[in-house]
Amino acid sequence: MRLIEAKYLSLIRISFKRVNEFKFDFLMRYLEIPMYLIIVYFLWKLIFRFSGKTELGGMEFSRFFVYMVLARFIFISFPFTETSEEIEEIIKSGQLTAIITRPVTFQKYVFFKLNFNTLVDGLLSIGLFLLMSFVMGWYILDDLVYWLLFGASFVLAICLNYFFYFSIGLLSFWADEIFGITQAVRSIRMFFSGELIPLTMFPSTLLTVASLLPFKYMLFNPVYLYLKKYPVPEALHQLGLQLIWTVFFMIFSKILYQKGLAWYNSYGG
Amino acid sequence: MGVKVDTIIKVHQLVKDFKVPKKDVNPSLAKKIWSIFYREWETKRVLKHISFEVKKGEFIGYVGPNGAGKSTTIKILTGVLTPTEGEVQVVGFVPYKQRYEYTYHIGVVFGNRSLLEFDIPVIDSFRLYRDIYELNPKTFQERLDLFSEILKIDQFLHIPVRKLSLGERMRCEIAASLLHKPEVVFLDEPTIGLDVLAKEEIRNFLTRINQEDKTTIMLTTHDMNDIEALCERILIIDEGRIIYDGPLTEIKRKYVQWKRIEFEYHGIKNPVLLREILKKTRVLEQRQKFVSLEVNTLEQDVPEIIGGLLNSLDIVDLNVQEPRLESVIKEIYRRGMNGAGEGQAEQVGP
Repeated sequence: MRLIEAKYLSLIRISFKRVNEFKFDFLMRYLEIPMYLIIVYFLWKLIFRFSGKTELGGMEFSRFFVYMVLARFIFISFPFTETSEEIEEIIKSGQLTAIITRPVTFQKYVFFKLNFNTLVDGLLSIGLFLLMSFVMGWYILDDLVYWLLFGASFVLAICLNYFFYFSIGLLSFWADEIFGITQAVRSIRMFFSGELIPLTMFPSTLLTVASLLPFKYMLFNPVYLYLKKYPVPEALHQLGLQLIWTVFFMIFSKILYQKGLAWYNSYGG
Repeated sequence: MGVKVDTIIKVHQLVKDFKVPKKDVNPSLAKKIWSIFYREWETKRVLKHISFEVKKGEFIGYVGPNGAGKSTTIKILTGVLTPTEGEVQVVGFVPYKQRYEYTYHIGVVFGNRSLLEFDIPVIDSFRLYRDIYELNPKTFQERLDLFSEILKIDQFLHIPVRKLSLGERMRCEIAASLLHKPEVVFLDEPTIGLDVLAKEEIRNFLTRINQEDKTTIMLTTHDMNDIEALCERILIIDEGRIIYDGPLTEIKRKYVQWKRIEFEYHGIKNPVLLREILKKTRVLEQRQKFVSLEVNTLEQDVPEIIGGLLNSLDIVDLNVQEPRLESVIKEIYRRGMNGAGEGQAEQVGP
C-alpha cells in the first residue's frame, strides 16, 4: 500500500502550484522584517542595558536576538488563522457539500491541500532566515543531531498548528462567525507561545501554565532547539509532549468534524 | 426494497426533519436576553413522505419554489444528508451509508459553488479530478478530447479559473464533474446567471451526454426554458410534497385551463353570431379593431370559438396563445396541495 494515495499527492501538487502562483505575495510578507529587526534590536538592547544583566531568559544578547528573529520568521510563515478562515469559508459557502460528494476524506483533503502549502512556506522561511544569518554573521546551528531535533520539532509544530486551527475552523458549524474566537486565541497564543518574549523569562508559575498549554509546542520549542538550549534527553521529552499534543488535536478535530456533520444533518447547517 | 434493473434512483416514503429555532412572536426583554444563551428548537418537516423512481437514461427536471425541499432531496440523494425516515437507493447504493464508494458513480454540479481551484489553470483541476476518481490516462484524455470538442474548453484549459468568465467557468465545472463518466448526474442551477449563448451550449452538451452515454440526469432549476429544452419528465415539489410527476407534454394539457385568442378585423359579417360567441369568452382588451379574449378550455371548445369568429367577422390576423410553462408552474404552486394527498403525486400519463 502506498503511504499517500495518488489523489492526495495530486492535492499536494495543487498546493505547490498555488505557492508558485503567489510567490510574490509570499515574499511581500517579509517586507516587515527590516523594520522589525531594527525595533527588536534597539528595544532589547535597551532592556538588557537597564536590567544590568548579561543574560535574559537564559540567553545572552546575541542568542536572544536570534531567538526573536527566528520566532518572527516562523510566525510569518505559519498562516495561523488562515487555516481556520479557510475551513470557515468551506463550511459557510457550502463548499463542504462539493467536497463530500466526491471520493475523498474531508480531513485528508484539507490537510494535504492547506498544510503542504504551509510546509513550503515554512521551509522557504527557514531558508531566508539562514541566508540572513549568514550574511549578518549571526549564530547558525552547527550540530547535525540538533538539526534533526529542530527539523522534527518544526514539522510537529506545523502539524499541531494545523490541527489546532482546523478545530477552531470547525466551530463554524455552530458559530455564526469565528472571528471573535480567533482573535481571543490569537492574544493567548501570542503570550504563551513565546512569540512576544521567550517563555524562559516567565516567572515559574506562568512557565508551568505555559507548559500545560499547547501553544508552547507551536513556536517556542523549535526555536529553543535551534539555539541548542535543551539538552538531548530533555529535547526528546519535549518532542514527545509535542507529539502528544499533535495527536490529541488530530483526534479532537476528527471528533469535532463528526459532531459538526451530525449537527448539519439535524439542523440544516 | 426491490429495485428493477432499469430503475437507477428509487426514493420511497422519504421524510426529512430539521430542527429550527422556535419563533416567539412577541418575546419579553428577559426572554430576548435569555435567548442569547439558550435557544429553543422545534422540529420542522421539510420532506413529507416523498416517493419517486427514475429509470436509467432519463433526463428529469426537479422544480419547486424556494424552500420547497429540492435541495434537501438532492443532498439526501448525493449522500450529504441522512433521511429521518424512508428509503433511498441510487445506482444500487444507499448514499448516506456508502458515501465514499457511491460518489465514484455520481457527478454533482452546484451552480453557485465551484469545484475548480480558483488560482490555478483549469487543466490542473482536471488532473486533480483524474486522480481523485482514479481514471487511467487514456480514459482521461478521451473525455478531455470529447469535452474540448463539444464545450470548446480547450482554448482556456491553461488559464487560471479566476480569469474566466462565468460562462466559461461553468462549462469547465460541468466537464470536471463528468470526467469520470458518472451514471447519474445531479445538476443544481447549472445555467444560473449565464447568457443565452452559454446556456444553449450547456444544454446541447447535456443532451448529448444524456443520449450518447445514457447518463441519467436530474436537473433542478428555476429556469423553465432549461426544463422545456431538456427534460422529458418533470417532478414538482412544494412544501415537502411531490405535487406533480409526469411527462412535460402532459403538464399543460392537465393544468392549462385557458387559452388566449387575439385577432384584428376589418368589419362585422354577422353581429348575432358574434354576440353569441363573445358570451362564451372573457374579453380582456378591445381597442379599435383589435380584440384579446380568454377562453376557458374546460368549458368551451376552442376550434368552435375560432370558427364562430371567422364566420362573424372579416378577420385580418388571428393567433392563439397558450400560457408559458413558467405561468403553468406558477399556477401549480399557487394551487399547492389542493387535490394532492399525503405523498401522492398527481400522476399524469404512463
